[in-house]
Amino acid sequence: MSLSVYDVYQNLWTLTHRAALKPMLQKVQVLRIPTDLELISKVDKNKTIVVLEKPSIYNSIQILGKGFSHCLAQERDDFPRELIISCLMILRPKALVDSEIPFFLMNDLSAEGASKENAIILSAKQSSEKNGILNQVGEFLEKYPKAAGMSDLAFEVMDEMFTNAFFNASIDTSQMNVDFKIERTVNVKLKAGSEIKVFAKCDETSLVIGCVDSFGSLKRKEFLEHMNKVYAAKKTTPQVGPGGAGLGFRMIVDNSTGIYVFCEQGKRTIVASAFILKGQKYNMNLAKHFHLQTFK
Amino acid sequence: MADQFSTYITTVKDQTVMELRGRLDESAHLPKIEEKFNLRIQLKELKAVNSYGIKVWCQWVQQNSHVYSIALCECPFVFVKHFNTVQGLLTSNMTVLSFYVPFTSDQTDERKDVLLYRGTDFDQGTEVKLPVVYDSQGNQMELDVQPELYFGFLK
Repeated sequence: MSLSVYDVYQNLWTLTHRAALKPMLQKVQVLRIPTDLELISKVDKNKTIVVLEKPSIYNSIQILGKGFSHCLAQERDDFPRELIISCLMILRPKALVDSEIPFFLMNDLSAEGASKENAIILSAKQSSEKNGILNQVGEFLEKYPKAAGMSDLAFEVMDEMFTNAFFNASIDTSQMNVDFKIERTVNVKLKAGSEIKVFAKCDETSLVIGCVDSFGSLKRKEFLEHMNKVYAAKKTTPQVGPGGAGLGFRMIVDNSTGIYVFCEQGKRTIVASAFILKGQKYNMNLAKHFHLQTFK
Repeated sequence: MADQFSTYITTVKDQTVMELRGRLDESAHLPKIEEKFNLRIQLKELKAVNSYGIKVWCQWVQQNSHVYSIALCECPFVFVKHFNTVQGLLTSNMTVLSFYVPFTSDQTDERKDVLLYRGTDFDQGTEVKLPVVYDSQGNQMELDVQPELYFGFLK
């Protein structure tokens, strides 16, 4: 029998907080891997958080491939916070779907609307706007001295997210990716009414970088197959022929401590990366939390 | 930050030097090398690399496999970090002569990228000799990469 988040992890919180969180934590199941491996086919995947006791990005991809949406690394200091976030995403998906930028990406656990303090949100309608966007994000990050040492990782992530949104996510009315095989040198212009938003949120301890497209074209199965392929070998070979290199999402994941992918089919996809402002080594080596949630 | 990519080629006697500047991305065009000479590539001013830039580089390397030897100088962090994750970025006719290693300070939030030289600070198959680096307040700075990964290309 599977246990709730409260059953397993209540001691992570003080008595006061525990009491307040209990109603929520009791409604969500938790599966510890490998401890609870025999239960993996018996739980409700939509209401279960998977906690990896020996986390690796490859293991996370395997778990997500079995239909789970939230895969957490138990060993991290922010594990309690990520448990709460995962519970909120499971129990209150409307708060996720209805907000411009989801509350937890803005470091606000209230779920009552995101605070935009210390944040920047920019929009683009054509791919040639990338350098201007990167410049503005750079100016934003300059306000945070602790983010200075991380800027190489953050820019790499922002660049890949922006490019993915324009060249992989954009779709026509027949739901085909129109730009997937277009050379990246082409300036892709979105149709009227479509736009790509990028955002960054920074405080004393963390940085979140993200991108929102207005297509919602991400296909969970294909995405995970691709991720499985790029992480199956120690080294990834760039794809030949037209289109991208097929390395972008690996670069996003490798650089980040947390990856958040949410797709409202046909409406929008949000991809975000979290960083902890403790230097590049810390971020690249830390076991990663990985969320992949799709809504119809 | 968003410097447009450019290349500058100079030849002095039998040594050709190609300098790469800016962002190695979809705007990057690398010239075909016609001769079978030794090439030195200066990377100090390479500011960023994206996945498409890596693809451009790997294609260029394949197209120029006839080049006898390619020496890479002053490789920045944004380039070196991909040596151990991307197949075809560093090939058998290439030698890294020098590369940057980032250090960070918890006390001042400073970052310093220190240049290491082949023959002095590292060699193929030997342990990298890391310098002691101090921030502007005299605190010892910490290596900001995982050595076994970042220096993995020297094994």
